[in-house]
Amino acid sequence: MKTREKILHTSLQLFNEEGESHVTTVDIANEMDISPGNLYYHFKGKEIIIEILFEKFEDEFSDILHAPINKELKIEDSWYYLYVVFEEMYHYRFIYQNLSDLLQRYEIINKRFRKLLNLKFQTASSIITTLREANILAIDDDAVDVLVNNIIMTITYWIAYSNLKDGKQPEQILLHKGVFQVLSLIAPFLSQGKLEYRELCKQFYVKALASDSLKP
Amino acid sequence: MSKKAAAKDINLTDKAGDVAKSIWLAGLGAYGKAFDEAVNQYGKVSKETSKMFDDLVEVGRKLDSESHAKLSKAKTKTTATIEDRINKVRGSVNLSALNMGGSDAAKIEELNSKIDVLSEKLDALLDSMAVKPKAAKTRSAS
Repeated sequence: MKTREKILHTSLQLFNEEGESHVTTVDIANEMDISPGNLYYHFKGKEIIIEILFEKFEDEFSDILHAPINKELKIEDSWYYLYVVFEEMYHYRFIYQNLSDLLQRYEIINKRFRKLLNLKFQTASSIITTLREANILAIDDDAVDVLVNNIIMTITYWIAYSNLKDGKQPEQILLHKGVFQVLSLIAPFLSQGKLEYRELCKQFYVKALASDSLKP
Repeated sequence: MSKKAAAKDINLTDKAGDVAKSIWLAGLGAYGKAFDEAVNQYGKVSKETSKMFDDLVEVGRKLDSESHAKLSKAKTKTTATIEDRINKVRGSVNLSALNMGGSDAAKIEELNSKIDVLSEKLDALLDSMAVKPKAAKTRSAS
């Protein structure tokens, strides 16, 4: 790995583990065993590192949200897809763990994050509308907006909330819990088979936790 | 132009998404305008203007194929990455067995994944014993 890539990698790791505001460029250099001068040669400050990391996240996350999911999805496919959405956010969790503070201090990513949030909203909105058109959901116009807001709010703040509520936990458990939470939000609006849907979600949840917790 | 080349051209056009189309149309519009201006300037359609038009078409054609190439590259990259990631989750969690209802299905699924793990380990072992990869592949008769 080239020094530049390594700096980005180390920064991301430190930001995620210790919180972005507690990490300085000197900390990053120390962690890598290079001189602060060397780091400065590649990046003229923390702000640029954060901007580039955000750019990477933006690219990857937009790709996921734009994913061509045209074919009819089974519930378990939605589970996998949502898991990937959560997983991507988890890889860059330093953004989400302290969101308002971070956006306030880095004007440059503030606007772009709002854009991304808007894209999240549109994606969720189009999924819900598609499900309604297929008569899978029975939901009126006003409720669509409320539901989409709830979905996006849960997705956006899940990592922070879950860590607050249940303490630090393995990545997979945290993410599967988030997926379960989001899929359960839809249950009340199903036109039929509410109970079966809930039961299936619960089974997925149990199975997902069981198989993932077996991993080292 | 051979038949094959023509077919390829049509295929490319088919593949072009809305974005490509609008890029192409916008480009066409701009060149069209440039052509009109050129004609006005010369007052008549001369040899030069028709040569100019040929040049513009050539540029447009080049741009068109470049935008196709870029778009299709971006598309493949996106699709591949997300499918890979979804498959990874599917592999580690594997919820599909639940949909089949019976516990037998779940058990078969579980056994299958165990066999997969064992096969992988066996392959690794064979590799480490410096057995040729061709020999290791005979397991695929399942």
